[in-house]
Amino acid sequence: MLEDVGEVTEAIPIPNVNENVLKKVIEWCEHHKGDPPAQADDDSDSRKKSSDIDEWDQKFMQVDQEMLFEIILAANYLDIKPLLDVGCKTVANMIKGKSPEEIRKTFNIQNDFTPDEEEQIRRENEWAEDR
Amino acid sequence: MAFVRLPNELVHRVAEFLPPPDINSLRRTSTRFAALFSVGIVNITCEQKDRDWCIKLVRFYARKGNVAIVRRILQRAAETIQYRKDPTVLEGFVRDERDENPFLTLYKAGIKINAMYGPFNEQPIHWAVEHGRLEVLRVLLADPEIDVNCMTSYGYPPLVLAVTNQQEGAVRMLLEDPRVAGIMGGSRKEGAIHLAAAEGNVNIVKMLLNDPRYKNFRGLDNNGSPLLHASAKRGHSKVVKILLEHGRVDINQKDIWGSTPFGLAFFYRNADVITLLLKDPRVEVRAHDSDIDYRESPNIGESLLHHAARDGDCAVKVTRALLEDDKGRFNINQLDYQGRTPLHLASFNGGVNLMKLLVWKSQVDVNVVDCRGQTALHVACK
Repeated sequence: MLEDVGEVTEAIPIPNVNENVLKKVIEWCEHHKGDPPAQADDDSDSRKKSSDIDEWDQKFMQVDQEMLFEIILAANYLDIKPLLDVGCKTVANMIKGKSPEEIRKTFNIQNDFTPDEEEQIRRENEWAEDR
Repeated sequence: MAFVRLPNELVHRVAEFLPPPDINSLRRTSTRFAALFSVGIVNITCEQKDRDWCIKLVRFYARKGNVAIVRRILQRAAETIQYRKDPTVLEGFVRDERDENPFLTLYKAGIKINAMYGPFNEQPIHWAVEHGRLEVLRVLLADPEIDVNCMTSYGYPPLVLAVTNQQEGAVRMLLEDPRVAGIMGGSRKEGAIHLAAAEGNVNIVKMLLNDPRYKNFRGLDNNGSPLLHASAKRGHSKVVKILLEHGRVDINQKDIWGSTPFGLAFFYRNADVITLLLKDPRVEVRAHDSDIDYRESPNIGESLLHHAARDGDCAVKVTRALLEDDKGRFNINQLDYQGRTPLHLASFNGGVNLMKLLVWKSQVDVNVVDCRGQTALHVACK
C-alpha cells in the first residue's frame, strides 16, 4: 500500500479502520514482524491447500464475529495478505462441515429462496454433495 | 460488521479455503451466495487441484452435456485430472449409455482423441469399438485427426478389437471406412478374420469375407495357420459351413503341425463339424491312423471309430457322425491289432449308450471274437 502512495511525509489517513481494529492489526504485525517473507510461487499452492492456522493466530482470532470481519476488511484494505489469509481461514473453519441451515444460523443469513429455487440450487451441484 | 456484509471478493477468498461440499452448502444458504458461486464453485474446485473433486466435477457436467462448462474445466484442470492415472474414468464416459454420452460432451469441449489414455495404450476409439458405442465411433471416424489403425500395446487395431469383442455394428462401420487396414491389420500374426472364425461369429466372418480388402485372401494368416482350422478346432460348424461355401479355403490343407481340418475336428470331437466336412465331396478322409492327429499316438490298425469308442459314452455324437457318412468310409466291424471291434472297446469302457448306438446298426457283427477269444458280450460281463 505504501508503495502505491510513493514517498510521503504526511500522515496517511485510514478512515475505514477504527481504533480497536487497528490496535489488533498492529498487535498481529508486531508478533509476525520477524516472519520470513512468503515466497512468491509458494503462495498460490500451499496457501490454499491447508487451512491450518498456527496456535498464536488461533488465539488472536478468538474474537467476536464483528471484530473478526473488521480485521479481515482492514487487512484487505491495508493489503496485509498473511493476516487476510488467517482471517479467511478462520471464517472457512466456521463454515466447514456445516449444513446450509447451520451456516445461516452461524452468520445470521436470511434464507430468501422459494422452495422451488432451493431445490433447483441443490440439484445444480449434486456432484459436490457426497463427501 | 457481519459476514453478509463482506464484499463478494472477500467471501470468494474465504471459499478458496473450503472443499467443494462446503462451498456448496454456503451456496445453498441464500440467493446472493447461490449467484456468487454458480460458476465460482467450478473455478475454485479447478484451482484447488484436488483430482477426485475435479473428476466428480467433469463427470457431472459431461453427463449433463454442458459443453461450455466442460471446456472451462478441461482448460483449467486437465493437468489435475490426468485420465491416464485412472483410465476407467474415461472408459466409463465412452461406455456410458445415456442419450447425452459424456465422452461426446468432452469431445465437443476439445479433449484430445489421439492420446493414449489406457494402461494398454488404448485410445477412445478402442473403447468405442470394444463396448460397441456406435454413436461415439461415428463421431470419431468423422474426425480428420483420427488414426483408425492405431494399435493397443498388445497390437490390436480397432478392427481386430471389434472382432474379438463380437461388435458387429462396429465391424461394419469400420469396414465402411476406406482408411481401415484389412487382413492382418495388427502386429499380431492372426488376422481379424482368423479371430472372427475362432470366436465363431458368423455375421462378422461373412462381412469380412465379402469385404474387398479380403479379395485375395486364401485362408492363411501370417503364421501359416489356415482359417478353417481355427473354427474346426473350436467346433464352430456355422462358420465352417460359410468358409466351405465361400470356396476360397482348401479343405484338405495341413497346418504347420500336419493336421487337416478334419483331423482337428475329430481330435476335439466336434461332431457337427465332422458331419459337415464328411458331406463335402472335396474332403479326403482315411479312416485309419493317418488322419488321427499326431497327439493321439494311435495304435496300429485302429480306426477313428476305435478311438472314439475309447471315450465311452462321451463319443456317442462323434460316432454317430462317423457312421452316418454317406460314403461309408468308416467300417463298424473294423478290427484293431488285437482283433477288437469298436463295440469291444465301447463295452470295455462301459459306454452303454455308445453300445446301444453300435448294436442298433444293422451291419454290426456282435459275434466278432478278439485275439483272446472274447466277444463284446464277454468283455461286458467282466
